[in-house]
Amino acid sequence: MTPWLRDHLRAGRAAAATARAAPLSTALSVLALAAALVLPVTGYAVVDGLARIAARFDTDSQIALYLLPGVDAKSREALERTLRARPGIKSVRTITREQALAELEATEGVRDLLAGLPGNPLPDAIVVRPAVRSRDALGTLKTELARLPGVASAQGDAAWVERLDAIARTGTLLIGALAALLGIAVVAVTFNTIRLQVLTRRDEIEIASLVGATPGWLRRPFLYFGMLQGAAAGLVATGTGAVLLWVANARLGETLSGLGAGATIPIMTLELALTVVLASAFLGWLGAWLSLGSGRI
Amino acid sequence: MAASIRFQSVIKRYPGTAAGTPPALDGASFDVEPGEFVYLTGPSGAGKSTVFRLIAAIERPSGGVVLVNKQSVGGLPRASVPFLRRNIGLVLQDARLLADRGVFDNVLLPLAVAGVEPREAARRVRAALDRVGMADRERALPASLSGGEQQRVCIARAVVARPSLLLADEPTANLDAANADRVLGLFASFHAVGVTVLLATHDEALMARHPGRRLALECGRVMPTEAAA
Repeated sequence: MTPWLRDHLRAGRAAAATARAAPLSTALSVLALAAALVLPVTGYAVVDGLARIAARFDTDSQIALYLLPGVDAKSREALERTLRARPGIKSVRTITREQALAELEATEGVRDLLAGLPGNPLPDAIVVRPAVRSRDALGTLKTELARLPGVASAQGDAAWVERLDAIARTGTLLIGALAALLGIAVVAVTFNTIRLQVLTRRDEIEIASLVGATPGWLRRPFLYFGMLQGAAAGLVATGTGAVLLWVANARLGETLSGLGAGATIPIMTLELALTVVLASAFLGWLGAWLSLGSGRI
Repeated sequence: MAASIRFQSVIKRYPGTAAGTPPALDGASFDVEPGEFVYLTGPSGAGKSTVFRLIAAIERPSGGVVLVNKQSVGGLPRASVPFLRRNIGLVLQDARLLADRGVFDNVLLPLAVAGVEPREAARRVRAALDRVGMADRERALPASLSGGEQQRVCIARAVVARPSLLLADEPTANLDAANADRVLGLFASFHAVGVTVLLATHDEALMARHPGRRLALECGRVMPTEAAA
């Protein structure tokens, strides 16, 4: 084993020994850090889940073109050909007013209502599935299609998805700001924990320094402790967030069920859990590093 | 290789001392040749501890030059200080041992710091403890040891990394005559194998029993003295 690796193992063991020597205070510190982390972690998971749902529906968005009442079959077929030849359109499907009526009549309770009407009130419609995905491109396409001859109006069904996406984006921004603030709290808590450790081990540091310990040798166990404490807090926060999401998911699932099958918030992705643990380990290391710097070790 | 020490007109003024207070060292000049055994004598406040602190680079001189092995300690970069200290065995008046570690771990510290391979380190710790007569107490905590035993553990810690220079600041001050004699005998035995020893004391009887050159400090200055027999 190389001296470098041996020293890092020594530092890791020393950090673990410090935690074992004061299990209660270590556990309380970890819980305090986890409490600071759990809100942004859970919030991010929710917002990320909403964003995924929005993205999925975005892929399936479509534009319905309602034709003017006087448009005959020949003109409608010409319009279909124009649409198929147009770039930015994946597919085109016509729903005649007769088909639309038949579909509507199949809906329970509507048949009687329709029977009371003098004729078929529905227009012919062409449903366009766009090949473009960005909201700007979809908006432009919708406006252009609405101007085509024979088209009474164009209606995009992605408006709510856009709203959901906007909420998710705003949420991500807010969660990011919250995470930054609470990240500072993690650094501050670790800073103080390490400062106290340095004070209680002042003699040991001084003696080791007198026998030739380098600043790196002295600092490493504290840095490892900060990092381990941060990682442990990240794990606890991830676990707590997963449980909270699991408990809340049923309710969220009901709310979101209107968006279609599978529209639920993922409990916690492995990617997010790993990111949280690594980020909190880094914050713990940073707090320790700042603390050691202020203590001139 | 034994170490040499040279002080050239060294001044040390501690920050925060009142104006008009004389410096801890006031133009001190002396040489310690490789392999020498030198007593540093003088009353309290004469500057003995300051000499040790300057040699071990715990403090930097305010003026003049401190050379250890012909290398200026005052101009040493911070990163090089630990490597200088690994070549110096330091024994202080109060046995500064880690209270929560056993004798073995206390003596192991300089080797752990230097990254010595664990099996080799354990062998050297046991040899050092054997040398100071503490081999049978390697698991004991410092609190369970007498003052003399604690000082012997400190000496084992000071010599375990095989330094070329031993600095001892009043190592026998808190010991009875028998223990003081035993501790000084240990320093003499390390000197016998070529280690340079600089030892602060004002115990005349002890110096008479263990010969060495005397270097007298007074008010931060080196006073002319005759060599001991």
